[in-house]
Amino acid sequence: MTQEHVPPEASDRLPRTLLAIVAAWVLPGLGHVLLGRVRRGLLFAVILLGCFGLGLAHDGRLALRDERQPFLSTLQVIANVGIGPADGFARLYVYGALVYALPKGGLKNEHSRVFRERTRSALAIYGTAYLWTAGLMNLLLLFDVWDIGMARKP
Amino acid sequence: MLLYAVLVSTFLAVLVRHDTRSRIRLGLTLWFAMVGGALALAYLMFPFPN
Repeated sequence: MTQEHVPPEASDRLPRTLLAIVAAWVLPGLGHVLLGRVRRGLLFAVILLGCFGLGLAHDGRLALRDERQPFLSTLQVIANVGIGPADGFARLYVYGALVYALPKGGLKNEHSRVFRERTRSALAIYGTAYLWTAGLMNLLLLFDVWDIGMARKP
Repeated sequence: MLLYAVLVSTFLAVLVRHDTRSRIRLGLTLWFAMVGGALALAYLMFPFPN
């Protein structure tokens, strides 16, 4: 007796897809690997983590929310955070703490000093472009994982 | 710029195309568009250094 392959219902796919999305945010490419797209996932991991590493190597700016420009600076932070916990580790390494906003009172503390110094680096604009691109590409990948997990994409 | 274009065009080509041939075609198109566009913009901006 042959067993007929029955595609899982959308409700069955949802928990697995949500898990894959979380995994994809935690480690770029892992969501694709969990959904069986191993080669694709590994390629994305190499591209995104390479992009992120190049950003850090070029003194890229790990954005801090600034009260004077709340909208734009928040978008910058979102672009950075898109790469996942790697952004948090980078902030710990660069600023010595998990900081995401400039202090309200002024720009005189240690985090602000480090932030300004990195911004002054001649390579910072290239590094920042790499960091933002890595984060935004990973956010795009989350949508791709959703489409694959919910069988909306071959 | 060249490396950045390689990374982004490879990523987008693998993301939106499903067969190798069309991935290569899209990747090359994107790469040349990014690099050529940047060089063209730089050429146009040459008379305005500041």
